[in-house]
Amino acid sequence: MMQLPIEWLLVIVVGLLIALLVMTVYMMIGRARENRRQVVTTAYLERNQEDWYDYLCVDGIPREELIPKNTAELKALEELFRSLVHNIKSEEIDKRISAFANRCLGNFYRDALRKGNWGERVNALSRIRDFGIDSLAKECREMLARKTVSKEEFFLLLLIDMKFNPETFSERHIGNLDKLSSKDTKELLFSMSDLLFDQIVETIDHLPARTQYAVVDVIGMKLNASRSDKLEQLFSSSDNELRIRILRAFNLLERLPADEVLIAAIESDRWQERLQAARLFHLLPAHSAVEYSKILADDEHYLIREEIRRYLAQPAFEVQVDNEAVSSLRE
Amino acid sequence: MMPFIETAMQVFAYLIIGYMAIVIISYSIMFVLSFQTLRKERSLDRREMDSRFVDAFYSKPVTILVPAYNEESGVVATIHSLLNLDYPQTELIIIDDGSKDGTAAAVIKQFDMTVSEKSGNPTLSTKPILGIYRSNVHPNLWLIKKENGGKGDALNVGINYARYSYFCTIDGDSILDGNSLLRVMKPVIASDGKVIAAGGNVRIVNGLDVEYGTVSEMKLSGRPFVVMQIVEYLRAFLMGRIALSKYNLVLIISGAFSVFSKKHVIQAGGYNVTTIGEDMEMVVKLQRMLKENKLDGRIEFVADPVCWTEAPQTLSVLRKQRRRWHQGLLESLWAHRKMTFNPKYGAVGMISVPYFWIVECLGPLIELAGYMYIIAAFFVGGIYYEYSVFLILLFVLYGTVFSMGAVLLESWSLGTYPKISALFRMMLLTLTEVIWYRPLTLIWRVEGLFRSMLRISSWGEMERVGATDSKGAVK
Amino acid sequence: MVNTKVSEVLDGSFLTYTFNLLRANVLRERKTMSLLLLQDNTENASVIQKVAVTLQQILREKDVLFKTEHTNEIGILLPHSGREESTGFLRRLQDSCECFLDPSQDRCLLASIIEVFHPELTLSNALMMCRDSLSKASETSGIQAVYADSGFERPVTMVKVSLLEADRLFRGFLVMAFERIHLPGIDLQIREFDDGLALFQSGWVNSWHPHLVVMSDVLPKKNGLDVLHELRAMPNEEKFTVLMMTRRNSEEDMIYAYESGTDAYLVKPFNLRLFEAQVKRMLAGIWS
Repeated sequence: MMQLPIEWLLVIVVGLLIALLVMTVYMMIGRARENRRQVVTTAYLERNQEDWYDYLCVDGIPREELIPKNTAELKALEELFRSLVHNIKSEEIDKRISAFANRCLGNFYRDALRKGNWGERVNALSRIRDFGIDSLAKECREMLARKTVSKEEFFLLLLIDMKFNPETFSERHIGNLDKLSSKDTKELLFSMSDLLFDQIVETIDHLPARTQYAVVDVIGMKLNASRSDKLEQLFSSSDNELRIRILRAFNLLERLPADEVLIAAIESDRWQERLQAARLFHLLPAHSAVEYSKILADDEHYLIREEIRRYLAQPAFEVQVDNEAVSSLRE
Repeated sequence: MMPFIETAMQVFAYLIIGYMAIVIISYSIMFVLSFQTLRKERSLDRREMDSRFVDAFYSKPVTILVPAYNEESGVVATIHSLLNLDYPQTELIIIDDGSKDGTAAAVIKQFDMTVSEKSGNPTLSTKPILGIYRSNVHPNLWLIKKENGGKGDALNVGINYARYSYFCTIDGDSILDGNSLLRVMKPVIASDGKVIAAGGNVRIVNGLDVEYGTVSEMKLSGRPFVVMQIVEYLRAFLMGRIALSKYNLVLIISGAFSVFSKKHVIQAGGYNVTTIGEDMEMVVKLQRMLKENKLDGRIEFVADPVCWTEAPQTLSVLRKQRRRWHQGLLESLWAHRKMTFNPKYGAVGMISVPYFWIVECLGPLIELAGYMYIIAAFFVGGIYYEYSVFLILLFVLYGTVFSMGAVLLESWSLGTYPKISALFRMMLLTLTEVIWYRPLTLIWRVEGLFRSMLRISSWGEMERVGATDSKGAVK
Repeated sequence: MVNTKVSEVLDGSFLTYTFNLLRANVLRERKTMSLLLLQDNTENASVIQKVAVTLQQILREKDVLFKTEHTNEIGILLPHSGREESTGFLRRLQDSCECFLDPSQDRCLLASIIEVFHPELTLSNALMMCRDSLSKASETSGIQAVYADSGFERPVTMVKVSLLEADRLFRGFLVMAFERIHLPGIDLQIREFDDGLALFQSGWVNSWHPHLVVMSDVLPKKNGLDVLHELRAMPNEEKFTVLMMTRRNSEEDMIYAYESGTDAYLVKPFNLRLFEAQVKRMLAGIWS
């Protein structure tokens, strides 16, 4: 019979338990230290709140005592800037935040980019962008050239590069957009300046389908109808997904496409296209809206029937067109 | 005669020891995997992600479904917490599953509701609906009253009336943190819809200070077996699910808080209305559907969005709950037993399903046998002492060490219980787990195991009854 | 046909009583009242009699027409009207009275306007000030309006401000922005809350003072819509002016917020200047 290694097991179990206890103590010390740091952070913010307000919102004169002296105060500063950037929009304040952050937080984030783990690097990148720390633009570009960056970092690096070097962004990164998720592509495109975005719209025919979708979506999201000609032109595409998105963009823009586009959409064999078309009807003059509604009133898809029903049920509708046509449709 | 018993005792001992070794090894692997994931994300400031995802343009609208059956006392707090979610577009549907108490009346009164119409597309067949109400305060808050048909049926009603293409299920007595929905939807949005279901982390709210659906202070409950449940939840969620999620092997995401793609759930036929654990069954069904239709989808567990839920306060309720859970587990596995060791189902069939069969489902039986062996060995004495001491050590390793590890891991990575004293008390209690809490739950789970075996054997009968019934109706 | 819509002409002690009553209303509702004194300096005061007839026809129900001890004078009390409204009223009077239509006749009338908003301004004082200002006026054709100044500052109104925002740092900044807003006649009392529940539990909402509520739509316990609903359901809900701050940029939410009684809506992140401008405009609406 095999001898059971009881002693071994005992050593392992006791050893692990001791290790866990040591870790518990370590963690408790860490907690206590964290609590102390919290006190310093709060004190810094309370002490300097008025001065911060004066610097950022009134005079722009940085006072010496605002400069953080330790990591806890640095964290406090980070919190304050974060809260402001997310709640207040002002070029002046952004400029002042950027000036101060370049001076006091630049090195801190440089270290985080070099030595930190993934979480710390992502945090640093978010802040570099939010606070406009352009003194780190070079580091970020170097990082972007590396092949090992994670998806999240890559996306943030693109945003940073776009913020600090907008002029050359589209030629350098247009091919990179395909590597992003569609949500990230949209976010990137949406946060672009109109000038830069128009550059991209111009080249849309040469972009991969996924990027095209995002561009079309963002045209709608930007609520700027000046690009609707481009949309009409793209509608001749045989890509159904693209066509649906184009119609959705028209809906977001609250703008009617050319007649042939609308008719093509109504007669499409994709229900999503017909639904988007139906949603455009309220922009039509009442008479043609009723005519078109007749085509879709008995559509096979319930959402389209629902849309038409809801549209015709508007009380304002009755005065505009003869009641007979509407009431026959409402049934 | 004696040599025979001796051999049997030895073989049995080796069997149990071998089983424990398998379990301990798989737990260790999962522990290491979870540790890696949590270490990576530990210092990440999740608020940055939140603020990027909160914009209505990028996030996907979600319909929140709250099935409620006799939840008069808790449902209003739940609704408050759901109304305060930081999420751009939501719709909230409370489904009163034929409650016998004043659930519907309480909701109607509190949120100033009136009878209303709601468009839907009833693709799943359900019990009839008794009325639809809409709040005059919060235009996105609805209440659907229906005849009693169980939780699965209530959820199916909700799916039929859901406006958006993702839905989130939340128990009528649970509470969400403000950013929870955003965080659980994050993998769905970030993956462009490749993630078809995601589940959040469920924590126990007992002993915490809850006001208007917000957990305002993290205090630890004074009752030992509530604390033990907290530890148990931490262990199950942090260790098991994070690791499984990493390789798309998830078979359980808690019905108390998860999001699903409506399209895929409808494709899978909606919730099963006869099984006990409809939430687990749904996930297994989705995994199966993905593989059978060769779809490129994932089911994920997300550790940081937290859902607070009320844990049983008395032993008898706890017993019922554990019995039910185990029944649900066995029934789900049984219903999809053809996936077991079936290469057609990929890693899910080869790893997850067998893992759940061996470790989660049959484990309690073997473990309980181990406990009995220890007791028997003390009476018989002799060389069995050695076996039993060895087993005890394994139990300590398996129970206490892993539990303590989980508590520490949680405290280190997420820090939900910030008080040092709370952490210390949890650690102390886990030391005693092996002696009382573990055996108790084992007994209950074995009880559930036997119950569902009885139920499964009567399924054939039930189906036959159902068939004749429907024929009668046609006639 | 007899014109039935003729205002009564007050005088004597009943006039003083009415004046005091209206002045009390002015203070409660924070709506300025104007006293107009018309004076006819032609020989037999023929113009003022014609004007009096027109006045009886065009006055609103709440306006009060009165006589003084001088026969060439007639007075009017216009509640809810400041200097601009009163000037407009005089222009309308001139246009609708036939006696001014013929320019060749060169009829003229003097008018003095005084704003009543202070509790210590008595009727006789007001009339005296008007006459004083009229004595310096020159006569041209038509109704010639001059303004009399009572010499009082507008009484200081205490305005309560409640800031509901969960982010402590941002809330602090908003408080400081408020502390730097100084408007004549308005005394801002600022309180901050991190949640709607705290606002109601504090009892801060239970007074007649005008109350500006600046809040975020997402709050931990009682959210913005809940607070709005509860405020608007209170018996004296008009005292609340509500500015909602939100991160949601969906039109649906915005429409709903306005329908439920929000007075203004700001999408975060917003410009602090825009915020200050909004607040000032809302505060200006408190005294009119």
